[in-house]
Amino acid sequence: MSYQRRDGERPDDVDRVFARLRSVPPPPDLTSRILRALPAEVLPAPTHQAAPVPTRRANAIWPWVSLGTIAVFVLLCINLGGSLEDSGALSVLGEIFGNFGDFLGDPGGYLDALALSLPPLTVFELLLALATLIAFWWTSSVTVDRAPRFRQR
Amino acid sequence: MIFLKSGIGLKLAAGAMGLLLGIGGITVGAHMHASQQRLETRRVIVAQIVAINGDAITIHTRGGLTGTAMLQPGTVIRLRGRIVTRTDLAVGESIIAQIGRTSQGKLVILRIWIVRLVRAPAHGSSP
Repeated sequence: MSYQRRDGERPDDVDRVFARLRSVPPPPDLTSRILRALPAEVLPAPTHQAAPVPTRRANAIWPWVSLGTIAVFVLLCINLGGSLEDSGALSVLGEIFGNFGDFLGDPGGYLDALALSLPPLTVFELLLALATLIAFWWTSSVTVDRAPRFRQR
Repeated sequence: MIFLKSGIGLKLAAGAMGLLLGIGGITVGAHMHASQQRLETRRVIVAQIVAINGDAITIHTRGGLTGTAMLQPGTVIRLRGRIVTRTDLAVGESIIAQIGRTSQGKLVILRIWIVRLVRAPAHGSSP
């Protein structure tokens, strides 16, 4: 690029000298040479650049976690069903729903019987199954949220 | 469309699927244990009175279990929220009974809720 005056004045001697100059492209390693020449204190501390989050890998985990929780939940429910059958709680529940009119007449009695039929271990199994169901619903919701189709922009 | 675009529908479907799988699992588990049931393992049973012989009540459950359990002096019998006496028990009535076992392994009835009366209550005796 040749030197040119921007205003409309006639070029002087300096202008004529600069007009003969040709720009020299910088060497390709100029930047690295300058950086090497600089002392370490001058250079700013390298900012921590976190490795790019493997979003694809992280998103791929959630469906499997969701499947795992639902599998655990089903197994817990099978075990819970056996415990409820052994204790007689399912019979009482069947009686409540099969005889709903009488249940409404004396709900306290039926509920009393139902409460007595549940041993503490079965109650614990029931709570554990509920917690697993909630965990499944949460992990499946995360899976849906991270799906590319539903990711909020 | 918002229902579909935001994924709410999928989340609700996942929750419903979880509930259905849970109910199915409980059903399967109960079915698996139904063949192994014994009266002694139950805490509460729903049964019909088939015979009364003093303090001995013979009961028959819907699952096909039959057994004889003894009324205790402290056995509470309730009918529609009221506490009634043993004379209100009759053959043919449907009851919910809380049962237990003595140290000798005999079945005892701790509590009874009469759920269905027979029209003509009458004390029967075992054959």
